[in-house]
Amino acid sequence: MAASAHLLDVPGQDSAEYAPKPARHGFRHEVILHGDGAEGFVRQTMPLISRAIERDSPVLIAVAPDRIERLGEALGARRGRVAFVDIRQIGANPARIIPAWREFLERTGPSGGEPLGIGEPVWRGRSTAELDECWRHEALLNVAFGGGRPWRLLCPYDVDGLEDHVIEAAHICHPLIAGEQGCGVSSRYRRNVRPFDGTLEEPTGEVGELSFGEAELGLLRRRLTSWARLEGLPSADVEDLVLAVDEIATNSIRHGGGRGQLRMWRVGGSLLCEIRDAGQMRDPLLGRARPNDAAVCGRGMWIVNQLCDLVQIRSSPAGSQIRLHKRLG
Amino acid sequence: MAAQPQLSVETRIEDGRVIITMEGELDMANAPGLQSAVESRELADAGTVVLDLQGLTFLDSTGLRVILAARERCRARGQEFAVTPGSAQVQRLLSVTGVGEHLRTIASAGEQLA
Repeated sequence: MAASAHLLDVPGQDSAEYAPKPARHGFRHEVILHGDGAEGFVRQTMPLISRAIERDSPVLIAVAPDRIERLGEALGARRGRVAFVDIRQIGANPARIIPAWREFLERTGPSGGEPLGIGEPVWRGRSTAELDECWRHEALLNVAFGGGRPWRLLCPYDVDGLEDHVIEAAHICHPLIAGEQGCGVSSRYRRNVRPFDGTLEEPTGEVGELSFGEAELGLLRRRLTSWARLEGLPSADVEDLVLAVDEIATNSIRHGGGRGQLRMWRVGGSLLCEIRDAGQMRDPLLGRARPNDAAVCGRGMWIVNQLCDLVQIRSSPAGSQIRLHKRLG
Repeated sequence: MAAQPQLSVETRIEDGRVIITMEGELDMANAPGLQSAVESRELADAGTVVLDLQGLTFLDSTGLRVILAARERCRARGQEFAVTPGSAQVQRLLSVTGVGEHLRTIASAGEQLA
């Protein structure tokens, strides 16, 4: 269906973008398909968490609050042996999840058992645009951690609340499927997913437009500020959105042919800003690694991911399209 | 359309300390203004260089890069380097990038460095 159609590979191009072949003792990225909400989640993940605790493995569980609560009850006295984070907080923008796993691995260090992560980036009620970025995130996990340190990441999908094409995409993005009798290989897994492929739905209704080069960068910020204020965005959020758009526009000027086009519109409870330019994005993990203090470049897209509720990048030899979503309160 | 507010950059020397005061917006278009101030000969002999950000209303990663390059230049020459806090937007950028934690910050341009 729509969400997974452009997951299909185009062999022979940009092989550097592809994830390494899954290794027996490397990073293991597994989907858990369960039903029955928080109960089903606890039933299927508890044996794996217990085993990890017995082996003294570091465990981080990034799921929804109702799952955290139920799992905490089930763990009882062992609750302190695992760390929890609310995925709705850290992962509303799925581009912020890979950095969180990186930090988990850095914190755990090389000693102790093999780290276990449980991450639920996809939940019922996610918008179509969010889901479109979620499977890209899932595919990028294979690129980010494949070939590196051994650790295990389980991604629970609640099949009761999700559409068929979302489950289909989960099969395509996960090399392994965890089941009650151990773990199997996903026959539909594709490691050559291209994260910037595909198109975005065109806006309907009123759209503000502005063409910019370096001389218009200040004008672009002022136009955007007055529009976002008029739409009712709180002033701290206006500053964040303006900084995010400025960062993308600066990239366009620097790497995208010296110019770009900004479009601004509103969809439901969100403000959307989109920049198009003639450049092509190359690094599939752009903006998903925390820049270090000495970094000369690469901060721009990191900043954008921290400031926006959702970031959509589509890029091809014909040019790039970067769409930013900011919720109105 | 209103003219784009420029960045004004002023350099003064107080007690062997070079203070570079910026007012306006530090972005890609305005970065050369700070760049040339940082490269000026006046800086070479100072014991301390302070970038006064209090009048800075906007800073992005391109501007931040120029600030960090200035700090590296000062370090290489054995000079002390510090900044003063900027607007809420400036502080937000420093916090999101994590740079703020590693940037020596003093309350005002004249404050003694410990």
